[in-house]
Amino acid sequence: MAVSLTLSVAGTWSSTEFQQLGPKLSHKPRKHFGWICINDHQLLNCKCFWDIPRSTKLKNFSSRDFPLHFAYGKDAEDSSLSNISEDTDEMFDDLFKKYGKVVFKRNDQKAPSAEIDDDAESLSFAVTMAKVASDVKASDIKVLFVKPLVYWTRFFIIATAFSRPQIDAIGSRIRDLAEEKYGRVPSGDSKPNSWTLLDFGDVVIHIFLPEQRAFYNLEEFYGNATSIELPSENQPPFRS
Amino acid sequence: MIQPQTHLNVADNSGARELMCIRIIGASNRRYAHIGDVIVAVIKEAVPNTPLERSEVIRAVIVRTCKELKRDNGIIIRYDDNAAVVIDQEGNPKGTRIFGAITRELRQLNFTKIVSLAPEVL
Repeated sequence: MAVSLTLSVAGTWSSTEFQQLGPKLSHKPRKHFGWICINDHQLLNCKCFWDIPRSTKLKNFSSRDFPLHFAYGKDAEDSSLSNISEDTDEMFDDLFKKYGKVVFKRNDQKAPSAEIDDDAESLSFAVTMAKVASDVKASDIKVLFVKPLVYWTRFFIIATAFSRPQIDAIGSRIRDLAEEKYGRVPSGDSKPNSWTLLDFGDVVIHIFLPEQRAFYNLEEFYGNATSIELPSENQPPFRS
Repeated sequence: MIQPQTHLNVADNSGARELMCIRIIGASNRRYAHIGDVIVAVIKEAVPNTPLERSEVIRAVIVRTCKELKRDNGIIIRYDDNAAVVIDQEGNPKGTRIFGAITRELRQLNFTKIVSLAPEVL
Protein backbone atom coordinates (compact mmCIF):
# COMPACT_ATOMS: atom_id res chain seq x y z
CA MET A 1 0.00 0.00 0.00
CA ALA A 2 1.36 3.33 -0.93
CA VAL A 3 0.01 6.65 -1.92
CA SER A 4 1.16 8.54 -4.90
CA LEU A 5 0.53 12.18 -5.19
CA THR A 6 0.69 14.07 -8.40
CA LEU A 7 0.70 17.80 -8.53
CA SER A 8 0.22 20.04 -11.44
CA VAL A 9 1.27 23.62 -11.12
CA ALA A 10 -0.75 26.50 -12.30
CA GLY A 11 1.03 29.62 -11.24
CA THR A 12 2.55 30.14 -7.85
CA TRP A 13 1.63 27.80 -5.07
CA SER A 14 -0.72 29.19 -2.57
CA SER A 15 -1.35 25.85 -1.03
CA THR A 16 0.50 25.18 2.15
CA GLU A 17 0.49 21.51 2.28
CA PHE A 18 3.42 20.40 0.28
CA GLN A 19 6.31 21.97 1.92
CA GLN A 20 7.55 18.72 3.26
CA LEU A 21 6.68 16.69 0.26
CA GLY A 22 9.47 17.71 -2.01
CA PRO A 23 12.49 16.14 -0.43
CA LYS A 24 10.77 12.92 0.37
CA LEU A 25 9.27 12.23 -3.00
CA SER A 26 12.64 11.55 -4.41
CA HIS A 27 13.00 8.19 -2.77
CA LYS A 28 10.51 5.40 -2.69
CA PRO A 29 8.35 5.31 0.43
CA ARG A 30 9.58 2.41 2.48
CA LYS A 31 6.79 2.02 4.92
CA HIS A 32 3.43 2.86 3.63
CA PHE A 33 2.32 6.45 3.68
CA GLY A 34 4.86 7.54 6.22
CA TRP A 35 6.19 10.33 4.13
CA ILE A 36 3.37 12.74 3.93
CA CYS A 37 2.87 14.77 6.99
CA ILE A 38 0.37 17.50 6.52
CA ASN A 39 0.60 18.92 9.90
CA ASP A 40 0.14 22.60 10.28
CA HIS A 41 1.93 22.93 13.55
CA GLN A 42 4.99 21.18 12.36
CA LEU A 43 5.05 23.32 9.31
CA LEU A 44 4.81 26.42 11.37
CA ASN A 45 7.92 25.52 13.23
CA CYS A 46 10.12 24.66 10.31
CA LYS A 47 10.54 26.98 7.44
CA CYS A 48 13.42 25.08 5.98
CA PHE A 49 12.64 21.76 4.52
CA TRP A 50 15.21 20.91 1.92
CA ASP A 51 17.47 19.56 4.58
CA ILE A 52 18.62 16.44 2.83
CA PRO A 53 22.06 15.93 1.36
CA ARG A 54 21.07 16.86 -2.12
CA SER A 55 23.92 15.19 -3.88
CA THR A 56 22.42 11.78 -3.19
CA LYS A 57 18.78 12.52 -3.40
CA LEU A 58 18.53 14.83 -6.31
CA LYS A 59 20.14 12.36 -8.64
CA ASN A 60 16.97 10.38 -8.62
CA PHE A 61 14.80 13.12 -9.97
CA SER A 62 13.33 12.46 -13.33
CA SER A 63 10.15 13.61 -14.92
CA ARG A 64 8.71 10.13 -14.79
CA ASP A 65 8.81 9.42 -11.09
CA PHE A 66 8.74 13.01 -10.00
CA PRO A 67 5.96 14.78 -11.78
CA LEU A 68 6.12 17.65 -9.36
CA HIS A 69 7.34 21.09 -10.17
CA PHE A 70 7.44 23.72 -7.55
CA ALA A 71 7.26 27.37 -8.27
CA TYR A 72 10.00 29.14 -6.45
CA GLY A 73 8.61 32.55 -5.87
CA LYS A 74 7.37 34.97 -8.47
CA ASP A 75 10.61 35.90 -10.14
CA ALA A 76 11.86 32.36 -10.25
CA GLU A 77 8.79 30.99 -11.80
CA ASP A 78 9.72 31.74 -15.37
CA SER A 79 13.12 30.21 -15.18
CA SER A 80 11.94 27.08 -13.41
CA LEU A 81 9.13 26.45 -15.83
CA SER A 82 11.17 27.05 -18.94
CA ASN A 83 13.99 24.81 -17.74
CA ILE A 84 11.86 21.80 -17.14
CA SER A 85 12.98 20.02 -20.25
CA GLU A 86 16.63 20.60 -19.40
CA ASP A 87 18.70 18.83 -16.85
CA THR A 88 16.83 19.01 -13.57
CA ASP A 89 19.92 18.56 -11.42
CA GLU A 90 21.41 21.78 -12.67
CA MET A 91 18.15 23.54 -12.34
CA PHE A 92 17.85 22.58 -8.70
CA ASP A 93 21.48 23.39 -8.01
CA ASP A 94 21.02 26.85 -9.47
CA LEU A 95 17.91 27.43 -7.45
CA PHE A 96 19.61 26.26 -4.29
CA LYS A 97 22.45 28.65 -4.94
CA LYS A 98 20.16 31.51 -5.66
CA TYR A 99 17.59 31.08 -2.94
CA GLY A 100 19.30 28.90 -0.38
CA LYS A 101 17.37 26.16 1.27
CA VAL A 102 14.17 28.02 1.84
CA VAL A 103 12.25 27.18 -1.24
CA PHE A 104 8.73 28.05 -0.37
CA LYS A 105 7.22 30.14 2.33
CA ARG A 106 3.60 29.99 3.12
CA ASN A 107 1.76 33.17 2.30
CA ASP A 108 -1.17 32.89 4.64
CA GLN A 109 1.02 32.05 7.58
CA LYS A 110 -0.39 33.29 10.83
CA ALA A 111 1.70 35.04 13.41
CA PRO A 112 2.43 32.85 16.42
CA SER A 113 0.43 35.23 18.59
CA ALA A 114 -2.65 34.80 16.40
CA GLU A 115 -2.21 31.06 16.64
CA ILE A 116 -2.10 31.25 20.42
CA ASP A 117 -5.22 33.43 20.41
CA ASP A 118 -7.01 30.84 18.30
CA ASP A 119 -5.93 28.10 20.66
CA ALA A 120 -7.16 30.05 23.65
CA GLU A 121 -10.51 30.64 21.98
CA SER A 122 -10.89 26.95 21.22
CA LEU A 123 -9.84 26.11 24.74
CA SER A 124 -12.45 28.35 26.29
CA PHE A 125 -15.07 26.88 23.97
CA ALA A 126 -13.99 23.35 24.85
CA VAL A 127 -14.04 24.06 28.57
CA THR A 128 -17.50 25.61 28.33
CA MET A 129 -18.75 22.57 26.45
CA ALA A 130 -17.22 20.24 29.00
CA LYS A 131 -18.94 22.20 31.77
CA VAL A 132 -22.27 21.86 30.00
CA ALA A 133 -21.70 18.13 29.74
CA SER A 134 -20.94 17.89 33.43
CA ASP A 135 -24.10 19.89 34.18
CA VAL A 136 -26.09 17.13 32.52
CA LYS A 137 -24.20 14.61 34.65
CA ALA A 138 -21.94 13.16 32.05
CA SER A 139 -19.17 11.41 33.89
CA ASP A 140 -15.46 10.96 33.35
CA ILE A 141 -15.13 14.01 31.15
CA LYS A 142 -11.74 14.47 29.60
CA VAL A 143 -10.51 17.39 27.54
CA LEU A 144 -7.50 16.48 25.45
CA PHE A 145 -5.28 18.90 23.58
CA VAL A 146 -4.69 16.88 20.43
CA LYS A 147 -3.35 19.64 18.23
CA PRO A 148 0.24 18.39 18.43
CA LEU A 149 -0.89 14.94 17.31
CA VAL A 150 -3.40 15.54 14.53
CA TYR A 151 -3.69 18.48 12.24
CA TRP A 152 -7.44 18.34 11.73
CA THR A 153 -8.63 19.46 15.13
CA ARG A 154 -7.42 21.09 18.35
CA PHE A 155 -9.38 19.63 21.24
CA PHE A 156 -11.14 16.38 21.97
CA ILE A 157 -13.79 16.15 24.67
CA ILE A 158 -14.52 12.59 25.70
CA ALA A 159 -17.46 11.96 28.01
CA THR A 160 -19.48 8.99 29.23
CA ALA A 161 -23.25 8.95 29.48
CA PHE A 162 -25.23 6.07 30.86
CA SER A 163 -28.24 5.89 28.59
CA ARG A 164 -29.37 7.06 25.20
CA PRO A 165 -31.77 9.65 26.61
CA GLN A 166 -28.86 11.07 28.55
CA ILE A 167 -26.72 11.15 25.42
CA ASP A 168 -29.56 12.97 23.71
CA ALA A 169 -29.79 15.43 26.59
CA ILE A 170 -26.05 16.14 26.58
CA GLY A 171 -25.97 16.47 22.82
CA SER A 172 -28.89 18.83 22.61
CA ARG A 173 -27.66 20.98 25.51
CA ILE A 174 -24.27 21.30 23.86
CA ARG A 175 -25.82 22.09 20.50
CA ASP A 176 -28.13 24.72 21.95
CA LEU A 177 -25.46 26.48 23.94
CA ALA A 178 -22.95 26.43 21.10
CA GLU A 179 -25.47 27.98 18.77
CA GLU A 180 -26.74 30.50 21.28
CA LYS A 181 -23.46 31.65 22.72
CA TYR A 182 -20.95 31.06 19.96
CA GLY A 183 -23.11 30.79 16.85
CA ARG A 184 -21.57 27.47 15.87
CA VAL A 185 -23.44 24.48 14.56
CA PRO A 186 -21.87 21.03 14.84
CA SER A 187 -21.73 18.38 12.17
CA GLY A 188 -21.75 14.73 13.10
CA ASP A 189 -24.49 12.62 14.59
CA SER A 190 -27.88 14.21 14.88
CA LYS A 191 -29.52 11.25 16.56
CA PRO A 192 -28.33 9.78 19.84
CA ASN A 193 -26.00 6.93 19.11
CA SER A 194 -23.92 4.66 21.28
CA TRP A 195 -20.97 6.77 20.16
CA THR A 196 -22.28 10.23 19.46
CA LEU A 197 -19.86 12.62 17.86
CA LEU A 198 -20.27 16.37 17.59
CA ASP A 199 -17.77 18.02 15.29
CA PHE A 200 -17.28 21.76 15.80
CA GLY A 201 -14.19 21.92 13.62
CA ASP A 202 -11.55 22.78 16.18
CA VAL A 203 -13.34 20.94 18.99
CA VAL A 204 -14.64 17.41 18.57
CA ILE A 205 -16.93 16.01 21.25
CA HIS A 206 -17.30 12.27 21.76
CA ILE A 207 -20.11 11.01 23.98
CA PHE A 208 -19.95 7.30 24.67
CA LEU A 209 -21.93 4.70 26.47
CA PRO A 210 -19.63 3.01 29.00
CA GLU A 211 -19.29 -0.16 26.91
CA GLN A 212 -18.37 1.73 23.77
CA ARG A 213 -15.92 3.88 25.63
CA ALA A 214 -14.07 0.83 26.85
CA PHE A 215 -14.34 -0.77 23.41
CA TYR A 216 -12.93 2.06 21.33
CA ASN A 217 -10.59 3.29 24.07
CA LEU A 218 -9.88 6.65 22.48
CA GLU A 219 -7.89 7.87 25.49
CA GLU A 220 -5.35 5.18 24.91
CA PHE A 221 -5.14 5.97 21.21
CA TYR A 222 -4.55 9.62 22.01
CA GLY A 223 -2.45 8.79 25.06
CA ASN A 224 0.24 11.31 24.15
CA ALA A 225 -2.17 14.23 24.17
CA THR A 226 -2.03 16.55 27.14
CA SER A 227 -5.11 16.39 29.29
CA ILE A 228 -6.57 19.67 30.46
CA GLU A 229 -7.80 20.10 33.98
CA LEU A 230 -11.38 21.14 34.29
CA PRO A 231 -12.18 23.73 36.93
CA SER A 232 -15.39 21.99 37.93
CA GLU A 233 -13.80 18.60 38.26
CA ASN A 234 -12.80 18.88 41.88
CA GLN A 235 -16.05 20.27 43.08
CA PRO A 236 -18.64 17.97 44.58
CA PRO A 237 -21.28 17.13 41.98
CA PHE A 238 -24.25 18.18 44.08
CA ARG A 239 -23.91 21.72 45.30
CA SER A 240 -26.79 23.89 46.11
CA MET B 1 -14.29 3.08 -8.93
CA ILE B 2 -15.85 0.34 -6.88
CA GLN B 3 -18.69 -1.58 -8.42
CA PRO B 4 -20.50 -4.77 -7.49
CA GLN B 5 -18.13 -7.77 -7.58
CA THR B 6 -15.11 -5.61 -6.71
CA HIS B 7 -12.95 -7.13 -4.01
CA LEU B 8 -11.66 -4.77 -1.33
CA ASN B 9 -9.18 -5.05 1.49
CA VAL B 10 -10.30 -4.23 5.01
CA ALA B 11 -8.55 -1.30 6.67
CA ASP B 12 -9.54 -2.00 10.28
CA ASN B 13 -9.24 -4.63 12.97
CA SER B 14 -12.85 -5.78 12.79
CA GLY B 15 -11.81 -9.29 11.79
CA ALA B 16 -12.79 -9.28 8.14
CA ARG B 17 -9.94 -9.52 5.67
CA GLU B 18 -11.51 -9.22 2.29
CA LEU B 19 -14.85 -7.90 1.13
CA MET B 20 -16.73 -8.08 -2.10
CA CYS B 21 -18.98 -5.17 -2.97
CA ILE B 22 -22.51 -6.25 -3.82
CA ARG B 23 -24.36 -2.94 -3.83
CA ILE B 24 -23.68 0.78 -3.66
CA ILE B 25 -25.90 2.72 -1.32
CA GLY B 26 -27.19 6.06 -2.46
CA ALA B 27 -28.96 6.55 -5.74
CA SER B 28 -30.46 3.66 -7.65
CA ASN B 29 -28.55 2.30 -10.60
CA ARG B 30 -25.41 3.97 -9.48
CA ARG B 31 -22.48 2.55 -11.31
CA TYR B 32 -19.37 3.34 -9.28
CA ALA B 33 -18.54 4.14 -5.69
CA HIS B 34 -15.64 6.34 -4.62
CA ILE B 35 -13.94 7.32 -1.38
CA GLY B 36 -16.50 8.07 1.32
CA ASP B 37 -19.34 6.08 -0.20
CA VAL B 38 -21.16 3.39 1.74
CA ILE B 39 -21.44 0.00 0.10
CA VAL B 40 -23.09 -3.26 1.00
CA ALA B 41 -20.48 -5.97 0.92
CA VAL B 42 -20.07 -9.61 1.69
CA ILE B 43 -17.12 -10.92 3.68
CA LYS B 44 -15.08 -13.22 1.49
CA GLU B 45 -12.35 -13.91 3.97
CA ALA B 46 -12.24 -13.40 7.72
CA VAL B 47 -9.78 -13.87 10.56
CA PRO B 48 -10.71 -16.98 12.58
CA ASN B 49 -12.38 -16.53 15.98
CA THR B 50 -13.62 -13.01 15.40
CA PRO B 51 -17.20 -11.73 15.56
CA LEU B 52 -17.39 -11.35 11.78
CA GLU B 53 -17.58 -14.44 9.67
CA ARG B 54 -17.21 -15.39 6.08
CA SER B 55 -20.24 -14.82 3.84
CA GLU B 56 -21.75 -12.31 6.22
CA VAL B 57 -23.36 -9.26 4.63
CA ILE B 58 -22.19 -5.96 6.10
CA ARG B 59 -21.94 -2.28 5.32
CA ALA B 60 -18.63 -0.64 4.69
CA VAL B 61 -17.20 2.79 3.89
CA ILE B 62 -14.62 3.04 1.15
CA VAL B 63 -11.48 4.72 2.46
CA ARG B 64 -8.91 4.07 -0.24
CA THR B 65 -9.23 3.58 -3.96
CA CYS B 66 -6.82 2.92 -6.78
CA LYS B 67 -8.79 5.43 -8.79
CA GLU B 68 -7.29 8.81 -8.11
CA LEU B 69 -9.08 11.35 -5.96
CA LYS B 70 -8.73 14.93 -7.10
CA ARG B 71 -8.88 17.95 -4.86
CA ASP B 72 -9.67 21.48 -5.88
CA ASN B 73 -6.13 22.67 -5.22
CA GLY B 74 -4.68 20.24 -7.75
CA ILE B 75 -3.63 17.47 -5.42
CA ILE B 76 -4.31 13.99 -6.69
CA ILE B 77 -4.32 11.09 -4.24
CA ARG B 78 -4.05 7.56 -5.50
CA TYR B 79 -3.58 4.49 -3.36
CA ASP B 80 -2.24 1.10 -4.29
CA ASP B 81 -5.27 -0.78 -3.06
CA ASN B 82 -8.99 -0.55 -2.64
CA ALA B 83 -9.86 -0.62 1.03
CA ALA B 84 -12.96 -0.21 3.17
CA VAL B 85 -13.87 0.07 6.84
CA VAL B 86 -16.68 -2.09 8.19
CA ILE B 87 -19.45 -0.09 9.85
CA ASP B 88 -22.77 -0.97 11.44
CA GLN B 89 -26.19 0.41 10.62
CA GLU B 90 -25.64 3.44 12.84
CA GLY B 91 -22.36 4.33 11.20
CA ASN B 92 -20.08 3.28 14.04
CA PRO B 93 -17.01 1.36 12.94
CA LYS B 94 -17.01 -2.35 13.89
CA GLY B 95 -13.28 -2.33 14.52
CA THR B 96 -11.50 -0.17 17.05
CA ARG B 97 -8.53 0.97 14.99
CA ILE B 98 -8.00 1.90 11.37
CA PHE B 99 -4.85 0.96 9.44
CA GLY B 100 -3.06 3.04 6.89
CA ALA B 101 -3.62 6.56 5.70
CA ILE B 102 -7.05 7.90 4.91
CA THR B 103 -8.20 11.12 3.35
CA ARG B 104 -9.74 14.13 5.03
CA GLU B 105 -12.71 14.01 2.66
CA LEU B 106 -14.19 11.41 4.99
CA ARG B 107 -14.61 14.06 7.65
CA GLN B 108 -16.69 16.24 5.38
CA LEU B 109 -18.85 13.21 4.66
CA ASN B 110 -19.56 12.80 8.38
CA PHE B 111 -17.25 9.88 9.00
CA THR B 112 -15.32 11.76 11.67
CA LYS B 113 -15.37 8.63 13.83
CA ILE B 114 -13.27 6.81 11.26
CA VAL B 115 -10.99 9.82 10.94
CA SER B 116 -10.48 10.00 14.70
CA LEU B 117 -9.43 6.34 14.83
CA ALA B 118 -7.02 6.62 11.93
CA PRO B 119 -3.27 6.90 12.43
CA GLU B 120 -2.75 9.29 9.56
CA VAL B 121 -5.01 11.65 7.69
CA LEU B 122 -3.94 13.02 4.34
